[in-house]
Amino acid sequence: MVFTAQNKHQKYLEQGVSVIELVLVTVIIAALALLVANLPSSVSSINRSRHSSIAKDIATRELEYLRKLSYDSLSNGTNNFTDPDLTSLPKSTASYTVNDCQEPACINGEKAKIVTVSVAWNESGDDKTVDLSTIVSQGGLAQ
Amino acid sequence: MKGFSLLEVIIVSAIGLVVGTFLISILVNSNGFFFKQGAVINEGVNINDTMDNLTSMIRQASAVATGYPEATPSFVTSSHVLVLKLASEGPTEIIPDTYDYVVFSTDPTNPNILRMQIFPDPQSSRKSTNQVLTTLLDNVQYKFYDKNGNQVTPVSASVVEVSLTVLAQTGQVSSQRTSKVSVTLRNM
Repeated sequence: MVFTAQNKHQKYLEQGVSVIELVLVTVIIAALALLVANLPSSVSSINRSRHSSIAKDIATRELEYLRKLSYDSLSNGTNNFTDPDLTSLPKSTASYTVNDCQEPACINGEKAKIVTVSVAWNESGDDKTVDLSTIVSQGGLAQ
Repeated sequence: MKGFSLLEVIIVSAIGLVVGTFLISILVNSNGFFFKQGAVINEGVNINDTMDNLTSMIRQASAVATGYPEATPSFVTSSHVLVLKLASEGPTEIIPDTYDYVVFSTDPTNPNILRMQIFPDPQSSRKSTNQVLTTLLDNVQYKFYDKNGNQVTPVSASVVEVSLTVLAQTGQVSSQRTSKVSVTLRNM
């Protein structure tokens, strides 16, 4: 058999890829994929933290407002409220619920209402809420 | 034995350059993200925490004081300094006509530090405190209102409106957040 240039080239192709080459390529691709995959999670974790902080802020503000109201002006039920910061939260809703205070929190027929402020929003598919509660009693503080 | 042709070397170095640039840009960006993430989370925690402290103290306060100490004040209530009068706590109930003072002021040496200082009456069981609330302070402003929402002098206030801005700086990039809340004083 005569080894021509073409035959030599043919033989080189038939050797295939060595294990080391394969491992190196896989490792490089995996490292790249890992780096790229980490970016979106960073971004969403920043947003998640920011949004829950804003929601807490909105709820606190509304709770302080409701605390000023008298026992008599609070009627049981759920009401929506608005806040300028709600636009910073995706698909947000804000409401407060007034209920009669039951035992064991309120004993001896004490007249009091439990006010719960709830701010809800959607975090890329996940529903999130922040709830804050206070008790407003008849003849209590600020009345 | 044959070396690489010029074309092969050029192609390989071009690919190397593109991949290298890509890798370094990812590294730099994710490093930036890491710091930004830390800063934004820090900022959120700071603003919530500071507001919690401020609102809970205002809620407990009997009145806003002109300053502390009242005779020769070293802290005077203004739009940037808040001095609150809280009824002193005895072992079981509050002590009548005796007050503890809570001062919210910026640190004299560093305008980014907001401090809460509690000066209790000697009879009071409340602990003396000197606490840093935030190190990211950009601006804090207090406004004083009566029950009907008219702006009044600090001493006659029954509602204190607090507006707090924190600023987180990461290199060239800064991020700012403002929180505003109106809090009613105790027994007003």
